[in-house]
Amino acid sequence: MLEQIIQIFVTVEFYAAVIRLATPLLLAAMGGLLAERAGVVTFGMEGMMLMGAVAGVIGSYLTGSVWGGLALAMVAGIAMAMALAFMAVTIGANQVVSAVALNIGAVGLSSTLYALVFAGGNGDVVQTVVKVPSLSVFKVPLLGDLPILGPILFNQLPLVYLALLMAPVVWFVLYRTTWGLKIRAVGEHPHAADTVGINVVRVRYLTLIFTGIMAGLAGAFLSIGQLNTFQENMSAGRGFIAYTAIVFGKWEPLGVFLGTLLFGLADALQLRIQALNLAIPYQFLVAFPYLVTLIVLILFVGKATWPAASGAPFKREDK
Amino acid sequence: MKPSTLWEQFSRRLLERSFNILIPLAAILAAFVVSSVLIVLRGVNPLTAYGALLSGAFGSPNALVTTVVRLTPLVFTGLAVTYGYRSGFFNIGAEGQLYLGAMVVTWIGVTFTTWPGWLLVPVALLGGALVGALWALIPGYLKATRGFNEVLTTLLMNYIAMQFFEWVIRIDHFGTTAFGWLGLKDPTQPFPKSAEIVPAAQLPTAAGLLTRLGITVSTPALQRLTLAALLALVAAIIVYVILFKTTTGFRARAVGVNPRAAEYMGVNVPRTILTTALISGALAGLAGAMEVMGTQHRVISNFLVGAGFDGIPVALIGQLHPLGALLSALFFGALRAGANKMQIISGAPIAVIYVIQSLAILFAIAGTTVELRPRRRQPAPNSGPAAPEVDHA
Amino acid sequence: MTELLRLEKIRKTFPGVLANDDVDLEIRKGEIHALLGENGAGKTTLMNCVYGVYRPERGHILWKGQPVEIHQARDAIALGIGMVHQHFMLVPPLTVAENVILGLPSAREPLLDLRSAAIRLRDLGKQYGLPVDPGIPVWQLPVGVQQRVEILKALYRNAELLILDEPTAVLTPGEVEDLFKVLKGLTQEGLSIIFITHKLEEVMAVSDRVTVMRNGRVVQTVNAAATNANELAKMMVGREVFLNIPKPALPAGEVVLAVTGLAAQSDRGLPALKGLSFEIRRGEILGIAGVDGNGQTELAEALTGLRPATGGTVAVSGHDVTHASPREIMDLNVAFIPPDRQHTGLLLTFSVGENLIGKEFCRPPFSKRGFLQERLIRDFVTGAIQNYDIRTPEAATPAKLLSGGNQQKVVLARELSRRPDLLIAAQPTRGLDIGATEYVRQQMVAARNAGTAILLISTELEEVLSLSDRIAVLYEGEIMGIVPASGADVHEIGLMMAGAKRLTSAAPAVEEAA
Repeated sequence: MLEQIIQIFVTVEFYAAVIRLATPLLLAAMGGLLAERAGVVTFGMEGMMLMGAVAGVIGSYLTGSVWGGLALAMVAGIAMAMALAFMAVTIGANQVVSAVALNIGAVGLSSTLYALVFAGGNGDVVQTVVKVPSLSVFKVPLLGDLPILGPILFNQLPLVYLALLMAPVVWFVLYRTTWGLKIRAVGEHPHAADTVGINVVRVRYLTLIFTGIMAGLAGAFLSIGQLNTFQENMSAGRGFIAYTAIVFGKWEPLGVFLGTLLFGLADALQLRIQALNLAIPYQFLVAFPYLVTLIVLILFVGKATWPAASGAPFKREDK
Repeated sequence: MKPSTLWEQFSRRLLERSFNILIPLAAILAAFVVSSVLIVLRGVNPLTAYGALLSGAFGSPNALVTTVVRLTPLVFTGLAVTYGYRSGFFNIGAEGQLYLGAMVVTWIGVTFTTWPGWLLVPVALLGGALVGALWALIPGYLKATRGFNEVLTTLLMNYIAMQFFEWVIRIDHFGTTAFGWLGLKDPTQPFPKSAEIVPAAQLPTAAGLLTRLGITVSTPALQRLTLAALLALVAAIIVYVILFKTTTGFRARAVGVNPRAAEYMGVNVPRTILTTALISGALAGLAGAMEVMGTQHRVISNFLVGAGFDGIPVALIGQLHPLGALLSALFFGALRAGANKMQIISGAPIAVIYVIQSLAILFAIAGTTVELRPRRRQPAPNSGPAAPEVDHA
Repeated sequence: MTELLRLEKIRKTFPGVLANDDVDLEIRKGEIHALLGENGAGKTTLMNCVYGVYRPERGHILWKGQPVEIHQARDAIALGIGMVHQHFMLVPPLTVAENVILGLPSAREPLLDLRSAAIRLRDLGKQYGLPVDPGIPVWQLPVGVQQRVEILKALYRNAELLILDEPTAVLTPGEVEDLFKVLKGLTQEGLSIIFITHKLEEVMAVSDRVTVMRNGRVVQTVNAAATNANELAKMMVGREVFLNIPKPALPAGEVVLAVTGLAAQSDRGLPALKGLSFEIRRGEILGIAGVDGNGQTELAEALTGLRPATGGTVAVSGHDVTHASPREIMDLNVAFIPPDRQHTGLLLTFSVGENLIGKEFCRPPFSKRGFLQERLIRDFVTGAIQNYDIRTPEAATPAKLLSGGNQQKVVLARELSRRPDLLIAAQPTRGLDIGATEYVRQQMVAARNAGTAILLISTELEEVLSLSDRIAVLYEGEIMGIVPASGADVHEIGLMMAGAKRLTSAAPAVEEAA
């Protein structure tokens, strides 16, 4: 049995799957990272992903094109992000609680919208699984033909390329641009940023828009990228895992990237082991990635230190 | 500031209490209004839909009992979250604790088939509470000793607990496969569900009690109303007493407001966190126990999905007060009870109630936050998303 | 004498408070203008109006003769106004250069241009006598250097007017002299400086003109040369101020607190206390003088069980409490007034009553078998509110609604009502107005006269001088010397505070065998 498991690690196809499974996490986590560095708790990515998933399917169906689906997914993600921004930044409500509320709403709203579009007004649950235009694999010329690296990195769905690019892009933005400097300042000491003329509220709103776009795309990847349809609650906690990846990576782009890869690896592994039909119960395997994340968090991350201003609404103090 | 007269004190307290109820009520009303947009989009008259909803929740003795049955586990998870929050422990793991509680209770109920009721019921309840408490102890311990943020740990433990449940429920109870002693599946049938727990383990029903007293009853609804509802009420009162009338609750609330100041006042903060985790987990475990022993009498795959997470909105709309959790659970229970009828009669999809719920929570949070001016709370260094400001006693 | 800034009839209110009441102010080019007043006089509020943090309801601001509207910090900066706040507005994980250019457009938008920033910073540092390394993260810098960075931030933005809010609160007497030299240098280069302070000696030492504020109004503006400390004090407070509360000499009692070789680490893991030794007897006040950040916080926390001791011993009334929990130490009749009543002293959302029993709630008679005895608690609370003259509408009022002075009274009532054997008071009068300050000091002297041993930790040297029987100076975790308070040489104490003089032999850190 152990041999069979080790065999899995030797195939190129396995690593391609790791990248593929990590992609929605990577998209969302990179999107959320900037907002997190600006001091917003992005626990609501789960809801954004779910809405992105349903919007992807609806958009793809209505426009007959995958790009329409992706566009609508981004819009949906932005809408959810704006709701979170309004609650957390403008009203100043507790950010985790607002996120939980929005996530619950997303579950209902996504199912309702799906039923609205595909069930044709008779109130029944959608009977047939609807097929919509979906993403197709795009092979990068030249690089896609490389041995080993080719199939893993350069022969994937377009969103995968976007995800992989996001890690260095986010790093660059955060540490080499004026925007990144503002974001970091707002997340660590918003009052200091305020006194040099930075609009804290605007920075937070803008980073959340980015989160919405990326999380929406992540959700769309799940629906029109992989499964080709929408299922109720299809994000299955991936938004939370993306959040965990941010904490796991200690809010550094590289660490977050590794965190998403870790979960992708565990996920790909458990799927492959399932296919082997070994004596390990299927539920253990499904739980495996979550367990691994928990253990790694405990052993290696230790007590995480959020950005200093995380979770707290920014208000000019009236002394 | 000069001391206020008794009349001023009384009227101020009355005002505060009314606000506590008014805000959630207004939020709920607003939620219904906004959600009607979705209903209209389906071509349905919102008034018809909501009328059917109310009828399905309160329109007959049967409906009332259904509402009570639906709200009972929510009371427990709402209390679990309420108590945790008040102490700064954000228990998102109520779902997993609930499942484990249900599992243990079922196992006791299908294994100890010869025990008498007066022994079996308390043992089962204790088992359910204990396993929930222990499952919450792990994140609690991590937070108390290493400062781990419990949002992540309880969340991840949920998934693990649920998969464990899904596995156990597919193993024949005392069957021939490995771990048969752990299994819960009814060997006489192929589906992932357990056998019914023995009647001795089931909570007494209202009909049963009345019959024992010599009163014959014909309403079938009373056969579904069990002791669980009463226990929910009792639990709310007990949590209220603990929180506001005991030293344990005082400590818990102090830590919830400001752990550093509590430490300066001599409170043992790590021990308080542990106690809180245990109590919160026990309540969530009892939620699962109540559902099995009172209503379903068995567990089945996906059996009460969402009730643990729903404890959070129940607690919030209940203004983080144990008695508020009762009223809030009523709202949620009514929604669930009436949803079916709403869909059947008016055609509005069931999923709309999730939107109503979500909007209600959002409006309630917004209302509460805007009403209180948040004071600066100094986290140093920041160890995670803070629990919300808690103010009302 | 050209006029640079003029404020006319500025009025600013907050809920329930008239912070600035028709204030007029005029600042000339090249002058150092002190804004003097007690805590709560309205000085910081006024300057925040100039800097755009607040908007006055009425009044005009004229800059170089032209009326201007300042709605946010950016407007003030654009005009040439810079402000160094009392609590620094620096982002700790960012470097000096990153902090300085924060919010400024880059020459290579959107890329950061740290290199030219570093060059300009070095030039500015040389020009104004404020040398700083641009590449160091700010959190690693000592407080005096951080202040330099704040000043450079304003200079980098071509400030013509520099506002400093209580700049000397965190400096040693030596560093204060350096700062004054820098300020004089700045005025020679043509800058004007507004200097907010409540310390009279500083005003006399460095300013050209002084504006005294009281209760939101301007009392008077005078030339520094034409007045003296006493006159200024009277203007500040409106009446004669008695700084020294008479203390009867008491016979030496037994030792209540005995500290030997106490060592502890700071939050960063660096040694914060390096072998302290002292003792306090019944009925005496030992004052710990020193600039903030030399181990005062760690000392208070180590003595109260909130911070582990890495070496040495602490004994209260003969019991070894070196590794005891806060609860155990409290049970030995030790009281503690924490330095920050809002963050660590009180539970702000709890009621006044709940705060008053905050330490005793779990002991009889307030608690019986785990249940709170409400009637007994209520009686105690009513009594405490009366005895300590706590102004609150009712006992159930949340503590956050009380004024600073009344909040501190709640803390006092909670700590003193059991007649402690030992009281550790850290910054007990910080942020309080003069009435509350007098009250707190009276209470402490009364406790001392009744036999309580008191450890007073305060960064206000004047307070330590007036209240203590003996004074110990803390510098970088060591006691530089312990001297009797009567007849103490302030100059010598200042030297000790700066680490330039030592009366005790340096105690080697006693490392505890694990």
